[in-house]
Amino acid sequence: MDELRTLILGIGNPARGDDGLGAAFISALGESLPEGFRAEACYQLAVEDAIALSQVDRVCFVDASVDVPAPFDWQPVGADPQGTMDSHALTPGALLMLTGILFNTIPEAWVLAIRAEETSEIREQLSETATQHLELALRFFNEKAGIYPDL
Amino acid sequence: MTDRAAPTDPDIPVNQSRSESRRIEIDPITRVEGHGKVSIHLNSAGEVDEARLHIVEFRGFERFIEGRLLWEVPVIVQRLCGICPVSHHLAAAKAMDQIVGVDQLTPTAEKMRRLMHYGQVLQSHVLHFFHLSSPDLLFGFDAPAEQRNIFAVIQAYPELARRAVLLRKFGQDIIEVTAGKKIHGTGAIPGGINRHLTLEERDRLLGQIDELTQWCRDALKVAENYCEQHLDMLKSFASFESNFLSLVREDGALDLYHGVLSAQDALGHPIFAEADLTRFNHYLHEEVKDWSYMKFPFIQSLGPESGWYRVGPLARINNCKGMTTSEADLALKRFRAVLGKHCGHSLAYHWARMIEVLHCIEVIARLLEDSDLLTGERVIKGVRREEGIGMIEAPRGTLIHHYKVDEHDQVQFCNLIVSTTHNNTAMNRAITMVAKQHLNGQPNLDDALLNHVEVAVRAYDPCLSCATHALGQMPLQIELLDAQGQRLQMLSR
Amino acid sequence: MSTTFTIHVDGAAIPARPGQTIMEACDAAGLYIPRLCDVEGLAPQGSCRVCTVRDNGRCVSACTQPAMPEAVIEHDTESMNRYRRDLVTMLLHEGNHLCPGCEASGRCELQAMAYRLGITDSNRLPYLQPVRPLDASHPLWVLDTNRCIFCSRCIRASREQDGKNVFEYVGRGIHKRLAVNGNHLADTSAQEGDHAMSDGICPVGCIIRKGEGFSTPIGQRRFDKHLIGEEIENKSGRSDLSTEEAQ
Repeated sequence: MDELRTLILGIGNPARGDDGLGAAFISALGESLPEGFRAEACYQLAVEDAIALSQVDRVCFVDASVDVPAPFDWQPVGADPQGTMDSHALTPGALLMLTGILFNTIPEAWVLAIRAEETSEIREQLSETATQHLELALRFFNEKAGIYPDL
Repeated sequence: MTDRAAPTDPDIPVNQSRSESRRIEIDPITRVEGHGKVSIHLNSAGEVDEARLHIVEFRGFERFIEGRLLWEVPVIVQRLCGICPVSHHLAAAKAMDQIVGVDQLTPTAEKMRRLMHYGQVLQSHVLHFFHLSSPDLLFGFDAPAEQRNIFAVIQAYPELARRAVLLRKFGQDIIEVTAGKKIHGTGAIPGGINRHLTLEERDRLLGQIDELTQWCRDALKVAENYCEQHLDMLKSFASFESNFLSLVREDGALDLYHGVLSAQDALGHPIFAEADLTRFNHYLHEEVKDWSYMKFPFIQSLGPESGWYRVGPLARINNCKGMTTSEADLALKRFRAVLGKHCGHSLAYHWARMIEVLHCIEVIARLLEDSDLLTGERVIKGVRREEGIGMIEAPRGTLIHHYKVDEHDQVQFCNLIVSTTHNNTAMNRAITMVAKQHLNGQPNLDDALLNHVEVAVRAYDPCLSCATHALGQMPLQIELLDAQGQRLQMLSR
Repeated sequence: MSTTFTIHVDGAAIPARPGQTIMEACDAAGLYIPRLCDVEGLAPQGSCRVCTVRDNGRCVSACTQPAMPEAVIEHDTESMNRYRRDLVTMLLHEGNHLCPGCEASGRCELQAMAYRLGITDSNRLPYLQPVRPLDASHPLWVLDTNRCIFCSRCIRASREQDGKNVFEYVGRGIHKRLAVNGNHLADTSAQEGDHAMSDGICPVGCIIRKGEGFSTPIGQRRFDKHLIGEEIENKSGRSDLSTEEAQ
């Protein structure tokens, strides 16, 4: 039996304070994920990520957010024909839409939006609050995904 | 992405009769491009006086880099931009080459870097054309926003879009095998490069070349057809004369990695051509304006009023004598047959960009056949210098990195002039023209104006070397302000 | 004298000789105990405590504790590993360890240990963010003590092998930091050929050789392909392999 293939995409720029939450989440998951799980960090979603999305069953987008309640928000997300594919980046919904059009498959998807405080400063460090949010989000995610049931 | 007027916001008075001099502001710059805003200044008669693109550029870089060690710089600088990190990586490495006393890299090092760079330009251009401009171009930018939606394009041209995505992937793969990673690679080091290409990597890339080259030809065709069919619009939409600046190979051919810094006027007459890039600040000066954090570079001999210029694909296409690859050279001749030698149309950037796409894949194919990538000396050192200036033709135009490094190898001074900065005045000019055409006598904000301004700005593909993008920080707004700075009207999406 | 005896590490019988430390016995048996301050060629000193094991119920550093006959050792257990994770995490927070811009990335033992122990970024410890000036005075090496993890390998190497005292600690407690025997590194007797300055002594990016940063491509760096400690774990595995190949 093939396990479900799951992709975890952490979005953000670690050189911009709490914008690095997505990347921090990915590095916190560590190297040794269970079979079927793959985690990657990126500055922002890009069109070619549709290729990766077309090859998995489930995807979780992890991003910093300034407009979700602390500590984090977990929502399913679907293909969104109104999603932004402007300029150099896409929203998760837009990327799912693109994946569907180009490759005729759309993985099941969620957005894990972790509450950020400061994202405009050039600083390679999370704020203390964001660090706490990150920890709670990780706990939640690990339980949800059954990655580290003993955490 | 629905457009809506926002008069319901209690903080925003809607009152157009209040002032004689008004300012309309548009904010078409989304999150990855930093924070920007367009204001359109009206005179008392309601005519457009001037338009300004306001860019809030992050200025923390010098602090980031000061005191760091010279060989760390190419690795650290790329972390400030998620859009074109490779350009910064290579420009910094070129500057550091000079500091370690290397004027001519080994063939292996130069070719590996070229491969990295052309791979990057390819993926950047492809993305820009297909996923940014094509909705405007294929459906017309007077169409409602929903119809200009990228998904409408993709559904209409699914094969084109799928190919674009795979071409992007190809460019990223090249970056990965030359720099070690897709982002935050380490490939270029002072005086050279840290790896060869393996046979397996080479063959994997080479195996795709024929098919991808055909796709690039097809993509160029889309741009050519569009421009030929919309000549009137090209000529009337944000078309103006200007000087052009770019690196050009010593023999006049287009070169994205290295060359002579060349400026030509609107008629193609040379203003200067300097092979010694360390002397660039004898030719270019920067002006500061009180309303923008971005500097306004100008050609010193012409002064700030008329010394402004454009950079990027159109500048390179205009400035060069020819292309070093056969198909791109034919494409250049077709371009000139239709648009002339010294084209000033903003929308011609799209055509120029696609000529470069075909050129990139041709260059990549040639490089991949070159055994210097597989073996050969990677790094050399020379006599130490204190100052280094690295210049490269980034996807959006000339990128300049300038450093001074002390005898202990620590950076003491750093200044960057990024492509978007060079195009600062030109973008303001383009927006002003669009606004004048659209708004005269009718100082009202509407979607069409927003669209037109976006199209004009996007032709220059501005990138503000910043990748902050937290969800919820993506305002897109149009504002109307009076002389006192009071907002009269706002449109946002 | 050379009679061997047995120690019991997590239930496995490991042969040991008199005079061996627990770590030496385990290394010889292909059992890796994580470590940062201990390095081949220098006298062990048991200061980083990352190699802590329970020896008959008592926490000791495996690099200094002699192996005793029939000792019952607890090593690869959740509580020991948690202890090690905590120690390494505190090191990561005490200094400035910004891996993506650091040339030691990929060959750094601290980074490699964090990966091996599965350390996450997530905890409530504050980052101390020291701001210590870079010492780039010497023509051959740079000293970035913001990355020092107080392993004292350079101090010991200079003293034991080079017969010098180029490095020493100054200050106490949280204020302790690495210092050199002079105003700057250039004022000391550090020179080419010193063991203290050689590759593999500094486990992190604190002592770095000038002009060589990033010259090893990603993919070919020391820990790009395997975890730290695998060379010890593979010792027995490798000999098995060669036997198979020989047949």
